[in-house]
Amino acid sequence: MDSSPTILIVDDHPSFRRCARVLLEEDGFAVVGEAEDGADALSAIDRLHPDVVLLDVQLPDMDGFAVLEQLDGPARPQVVLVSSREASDYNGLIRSSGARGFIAKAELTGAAVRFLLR
Amino acid sequence: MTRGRLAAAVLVGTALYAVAIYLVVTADLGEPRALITMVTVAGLIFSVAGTIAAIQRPDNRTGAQMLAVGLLWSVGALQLADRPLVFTIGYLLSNLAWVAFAHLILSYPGGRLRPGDEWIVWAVLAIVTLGPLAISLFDPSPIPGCDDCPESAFLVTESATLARSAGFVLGIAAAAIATVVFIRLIRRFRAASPPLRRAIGPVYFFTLIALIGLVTSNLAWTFDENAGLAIEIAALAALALMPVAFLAGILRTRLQRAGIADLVIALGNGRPLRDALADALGDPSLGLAYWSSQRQAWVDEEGRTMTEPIARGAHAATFVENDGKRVAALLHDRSLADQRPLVDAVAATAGLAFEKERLQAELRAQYRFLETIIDTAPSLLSVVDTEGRIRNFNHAVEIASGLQGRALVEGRFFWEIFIDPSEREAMIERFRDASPDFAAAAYENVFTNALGEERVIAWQTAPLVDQNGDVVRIVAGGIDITDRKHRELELQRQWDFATTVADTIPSFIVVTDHDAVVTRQGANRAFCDVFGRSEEELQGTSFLDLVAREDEFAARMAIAGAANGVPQAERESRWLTRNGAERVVAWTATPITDTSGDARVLLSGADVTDRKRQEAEVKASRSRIVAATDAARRRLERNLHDGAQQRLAALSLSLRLAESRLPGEADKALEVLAGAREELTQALEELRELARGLHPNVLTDRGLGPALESLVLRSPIPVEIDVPDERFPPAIEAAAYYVAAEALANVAKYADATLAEVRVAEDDDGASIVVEVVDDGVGGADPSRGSGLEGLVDRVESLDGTFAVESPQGGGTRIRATIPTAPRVAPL
Repeated sequence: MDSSPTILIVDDHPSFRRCARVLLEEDGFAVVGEAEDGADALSAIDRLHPDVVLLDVQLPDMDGFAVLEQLDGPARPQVVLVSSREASDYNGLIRSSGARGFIAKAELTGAAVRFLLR
Repeated sequence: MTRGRLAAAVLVGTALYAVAIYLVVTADLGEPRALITMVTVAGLIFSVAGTIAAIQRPDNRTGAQMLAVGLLWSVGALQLADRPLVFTIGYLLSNLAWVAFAHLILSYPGGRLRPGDEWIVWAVLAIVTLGPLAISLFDPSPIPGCDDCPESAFLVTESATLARSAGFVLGIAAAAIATVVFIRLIRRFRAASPPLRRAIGPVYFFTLIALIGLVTSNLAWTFDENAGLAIEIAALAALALMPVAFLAGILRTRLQRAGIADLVIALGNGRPLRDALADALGDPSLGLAYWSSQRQAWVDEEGRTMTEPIARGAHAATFVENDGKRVAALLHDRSLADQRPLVDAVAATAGLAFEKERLQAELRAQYRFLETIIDTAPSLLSVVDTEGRIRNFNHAVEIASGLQGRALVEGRFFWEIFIDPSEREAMIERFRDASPDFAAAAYENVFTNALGEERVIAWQTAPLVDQNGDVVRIVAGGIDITDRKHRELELQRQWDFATTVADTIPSFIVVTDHDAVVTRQGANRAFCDVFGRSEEELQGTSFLDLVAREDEFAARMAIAGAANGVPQAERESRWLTRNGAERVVAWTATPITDTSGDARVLLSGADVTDRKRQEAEVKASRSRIVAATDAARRRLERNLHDGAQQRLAALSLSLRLAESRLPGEADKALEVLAGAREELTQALEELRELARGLHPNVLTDRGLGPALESLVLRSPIPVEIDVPDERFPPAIEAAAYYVAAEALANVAKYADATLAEVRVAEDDDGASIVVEVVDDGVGGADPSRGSGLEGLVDRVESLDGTFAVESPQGGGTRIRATIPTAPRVAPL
């Protein structure tokens, strides 16, 4: 993960995906794909094997925690949860979900993601 | 007196009289011969009579005493002796017989002296010994008129004066003691019962004559010897007759036995038993008593119960026995007690008659008993002849008629007394029509009696027939039912009042028996109107047929419970109208007693169909409002989240990008961008808070547990939480969440608590969840004072839940909401 870690952006809002892709790529991440809902995310992970998944908590079909529960096996990527809500809104859930951490959408930077992956 | 003693006495007497008679016959006597002969004969008569009496009545001492008189009398014959000493001793002892005589007369007819009489006998002894002794000391010829008699052997000095004085004193003393005896005998005679008088009368008569004679003769001797002699002879004659009187008295038992024959004849002639017995016993005071086996008591001839002992006062009882049992008693004079053989003979003779009289007395007793019952009975009883006249009646008839006194009722036509004038003619006609059979009948009549009181009598009549079958009397029995009629009227009024009330109230009233069968009291008008059934068709049918099948069992149990005396709580059931429509009725079953005294069940209910529907509507609309509000909030939150928040988040990122692309250029631009991002961050924060307040998204997505966990994280004070993982319907989760959220908000604002606790648990039967928020703060929360709790009440109650606040001053606050999780079964 010294050079560009691959990352999958999962969010149902295109404007956020666009911003996040530019921001993360500028910070040295290789954005390998985007998904707009839970099912899409799971198939993309299966197909692309990203190092990191930037996963929005609130998705149209299932929430990010449900997506996390379905991720298992050796090829499981590291997940960073994002939401326009605060971490406190999900308190215990984030801790027990298996994600590396949580970043409020407005606070997203590549440095923040790297910090969580460290 | 034993036979041996009697024989000895007779022997001695015979010897004495042999000497006496020898002396009388051989003595050379002048005039006194006649006197002394008489004295001797009188003594002899006493002796013989005494002997007879002693033989016939060995149990009575009178015979012995007569014998004693007779024997002592013979001693007087010694005065006829020629020798002065013998003569003088004869003279001195000649009066000893008076001592025995005094004893005899005072103890007659019983034979024993009464207490208080002894001194008289002693006084007589003193007089008859000392008197002649004094005379013999001074008078050489102590026997007056006996010139041929020898001189007194004890002569001290001849003194006519002293002798006469002694004679005079003797006479006075004799007169005095005779007077005492005389008074006693008179008193005894007067106090004696008739039979006793018959026994003592002749004896006393002769005694009195003799006493008077002897006393006066003593005095007469003092003045005129001839007069004295004459009187003494008369007295002695009376004395001689006295033994006969004694004997007659003693032996009257034997004489009266002859009366028994008369008794038999008298009874045969139908003479009343008591009178015949009284004659036979010579006791007019005789009373009879009979043993009543029925009453186990003695009754008199009239059948009246007698108290024990039945013999009292002057009467003694002699019992008549039959088969060893006392069946009757003669209550006779006590003087007859020593004539037991006679009484027994009389009783035995009258035995059969006694049995008859006893049965009659018993019948009379029964009659008296019946008479008492009839007269004390509250029922009217009268006997009317075939003309309609009242011939006999009891006391109740007098009372009802208002006429005081038998004479006012007896013999009058019954319609004059018991029928009002306006109805009298019709009654007379009916009475005539009933003739001659006067068949048994019953009727009631109302009349105004002599006191102006209105009486109601229920009559029953029955004919009495003679041996030919002809009606001779009509017995009419009546009960005065005036008071009962009044009570019936009063009851009827009460019943009418109750019926009117029952028929005008809108509630339903049905009366059933324990099997739920509608009784004759039926149902009230409201019930009949609403359920379209008539009271007549309801009677006798099962009320349960009018109850919806699902509610039938519960209704049956409620009625059975009430029939067993257990008041039932109000319940709701569906009752069916004639056309099958259901009405919801809130009703109770109450045990009552109807006017006949039968146990009944009163079903009283109110139609709550409309109220129920309205309640359901209100609840549904409340639920809808809450649900709509919840939906609107969720939508708003989602819109905020999906719209403004997302865009602002993206804007924030864009600004960050713009910052990163201004490398080292325009410091001012960077500053502006940083300021814009700061503003943006603030705006995002505020939006988040706003959205979260509207609806916690995590509640929708993850349920109550996560939602409450994130809620308590933001609480300024420590909160312990215990919430189950499972999901509930959204409305329930929302209600539970908002209860906890509002309660915790209040804790933070007002409670000044150090610790709070949120507990959510299903209750025991799993039918509801209980949300409890407890703090250790100052308490005193009042849900009615705009603490935000009111909205929660709406929320909880719209789900059929309950909401309670417990918040004592200084004791913390406990808020508890119970919210059903399953739809409730409609209560019955």
